[in-house]
Order: sequence, then structure tokens, then C-alpha cells
Amino acid sequence: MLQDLVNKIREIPPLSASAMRLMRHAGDEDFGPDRYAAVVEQDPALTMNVLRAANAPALGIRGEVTSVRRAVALLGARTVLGIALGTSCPVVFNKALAGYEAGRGDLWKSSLFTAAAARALSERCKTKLAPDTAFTAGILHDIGKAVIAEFLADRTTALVGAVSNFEEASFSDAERALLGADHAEAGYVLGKKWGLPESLLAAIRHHHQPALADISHRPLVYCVHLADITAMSAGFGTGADALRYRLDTGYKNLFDLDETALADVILTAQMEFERLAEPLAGE
Amino acid sequence: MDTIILGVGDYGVSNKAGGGIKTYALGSCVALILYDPRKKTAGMAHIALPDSSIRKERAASKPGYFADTAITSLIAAMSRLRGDSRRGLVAKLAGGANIMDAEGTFSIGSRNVAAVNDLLARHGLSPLAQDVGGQFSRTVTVNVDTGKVTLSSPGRKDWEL
Repeated sequence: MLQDLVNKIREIPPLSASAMRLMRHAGDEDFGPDRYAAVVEQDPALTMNVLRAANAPALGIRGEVTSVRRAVALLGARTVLGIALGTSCPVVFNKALAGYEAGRGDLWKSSLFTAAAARALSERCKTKLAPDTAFTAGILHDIGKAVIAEFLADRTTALVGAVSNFEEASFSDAERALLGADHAEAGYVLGKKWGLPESLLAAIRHHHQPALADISHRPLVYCVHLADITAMSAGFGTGADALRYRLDTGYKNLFDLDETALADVILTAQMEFERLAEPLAGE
Repeated sequence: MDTIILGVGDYGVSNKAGGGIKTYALGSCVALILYDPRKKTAGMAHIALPDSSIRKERAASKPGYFADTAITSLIAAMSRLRGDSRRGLVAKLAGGANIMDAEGTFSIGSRNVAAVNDLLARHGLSPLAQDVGGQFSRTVTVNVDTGKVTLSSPGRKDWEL
């Protein structure tokens, strides 16, 4: 079974060169809008998607936006990166997740909400945590679901039952019992193939068990752990696995978060999601 | 079936024969369903948070998002369709799931359910039935003709509330 997963990961195409470049410069203050626009302009598909996003009615911009530079300035670096990631690998973000009983587009919506929540949570981190990195990690954290979903097809009832009956402690445990690996591990292997930086790999691999991450990555990994739970709570999960995980209360060492702050994070993420969902919808 | 679909923070009412109101993937959110069996009028709100005081301007644009503003808006919308008064209204609740959190900060669903129950009582209503809590997502539909509330969740058979 593990070999099937490895073969499946081999079939997934790489991220676009432009998405990789933008990601490498996420949060880099020296990489201004002009350099961002230059990367976008070299990629015709991304150029089209960025211009379409800048002209989306939800942004309410008067007059047609035809220059990439202006579009980047209007949308902001984080949104442009979101567009680059979301559109550069449709076989990951835009496919229905069979075993999770999630429809086409659900993984993207869930990832986008998680990204928005991660950005909001980054402001509550006791150590410095770049909001754009948190956003990017939120977009990418569940890529492994696109790898393993088809191997879980027709097993949803058994997986859900195993967690409900306390045979397995979480949906990830149930995935591991069935396949030998869970979506976090599969996502890590895919992310490594894509050449993602270590911090993002850690966020993908350990987002359900953040205490296992290297100490230097823990603020980001805990941020994504909490953002993922926030998304599932807010109704932006991916179907069968929603809320069937464990919260690691170790986040309290790293984040200032009480009930009121959490409500504010949920609302802020919801509003950012609504603002971005249409411009980032892609094809 | 002529079904109204509600997103997060929406509310809707219907007295259309053969109609329904549906909302997907509740998570910690709560669906409040109101039904008048005599006038065959149904209403539903998809409530995300207990209290609108954290962001008043959001409550003005999306009253269904918060328990306090959702209930008054939903009752008012029901009244417009079926005539005045809360008499004869049946309330049901679904949703309010939680991730396991022994310390409770992330028990958002439980806080939503408590808020809705408290506010309903203040309006002289108490839920006839509720299917709340647990660690799973629910999709909820109310049938306008019968008031029947149907729930579904991935990996489970549909059930009735």
C-alpha cells in the first residue's frame, strides 16, 4: 500500500516555477511589488489569473485593471501567492476527495480558510511569526489529502466508525491503520518532491502533532494546527474527518488565545475568506 | 424540491409548498430551525458565534452570524410570513460540535448551543429537539410541508431530528 502512495506522489506534477519563486520570497521585505510583478509577468497563466482576480467584482475596483503591476499592488503579495499556489497544481487543490466525501473545490476552500485563520493567529503568537508564511503554510498543510483520498474511497464509514468507537484516537490514526501513512506524512513527501522549504514541510508533516516538530518550527506548526482546527470548527473542513482530531494544548506556551480572541480569529478569517474566495476561485 | 441554501451567517424563511431550507457542514456552528405547523412556514439560521458585541458592523451586514442577532432577525422574518406572534412556533437545534479540548477554549460549539438555548428561553421558546455536540460535521435540511428536519454526516446514514 505504501508503494501505491509513493507511485501516486510520483504522478503529481511539480508546482509552477513562478509559485516556487513567490513562495521563496514570502514575507521578504526586499522583494517589493515590482519584483513580484516581474515574476508574474513571466508566467502567462498566472498573469491571466492575477488580472482576473484584480477585476473580480468583490474587490469593487472601478475601471478595468490591465497592468500586472497595478493588479499586484491592489491584491497584495499574499493574495498573489495564494493565486499562484491555488492555480499551479489543480490536481491537488481542485479535485474531489473520495474517501473524505468532500466535493471538488472543498479542499481549496478549507485550505484558504485555514490560511486566513493562520494569518490571524500569527498576530497572537508570543514570538515573531511572519503572517505571510503562516498564510502559505495554511494553504499547503493538507496537500496530502489529495494524495491519499482515492485510497480511502469506500472506506469512509469504517474510518469514521473507528474514531467514533474510540478504536483510533483520531482520523489520522485511522488513516495510518489503513494505509501505513496519514495525509500529513503523504503531504510531507509531496512537499519534499516539490522542494518546499523546511519550515513549510514541518507545518505539513506535523500539523496534527505539533509537539513532534523541531523546536525552531513550532510557532508556525502550532499556528497551522490551531488554524486547521479553527477551519474545521467554522464549517470549512473536508468532510468525514472534520473535528475528528486532538487539540494539543501545548499551544498555550506559544499563543495568547482566550475565548474572545478565538472568536475574533474566527470572524477575521471568515471575512478574509469571503474577500478572497471569489478572486482566488481560479478556473 | 425548491430548496433555499444557507451559507455561514445566513438565515432564511419559506412557506413555499414542496420547499426546503438547507445548510451544509455545520461544525461548531448551530442551525436554529423554527417551524409553524399550522401555517406550514419554516425558518433556519446558520449561527457561527454566540455574541454580536465583538463586531457590531458585521452583525449589521450579516445578522445571522451571531446567536443574538440571528434569533431576533429570524423571528421577525417568520412573523412577516405567518403573521404576528411567537405562538405555535416549534424550535429545533442542530450542530454545535467541538474538537476535544479539556480546557474548553476551543469548545466553540458548546458556547454556541448554550447561547442559543439561553436566548430562545428569553423569547419564550424552548427547543423541542436538539442534535448537538460530538466531534463531527452535520448538514441539515428542513422540509417546509412537514417541518421534518433531516441530518446527514459523511460516513453515516441520514437521520431525523
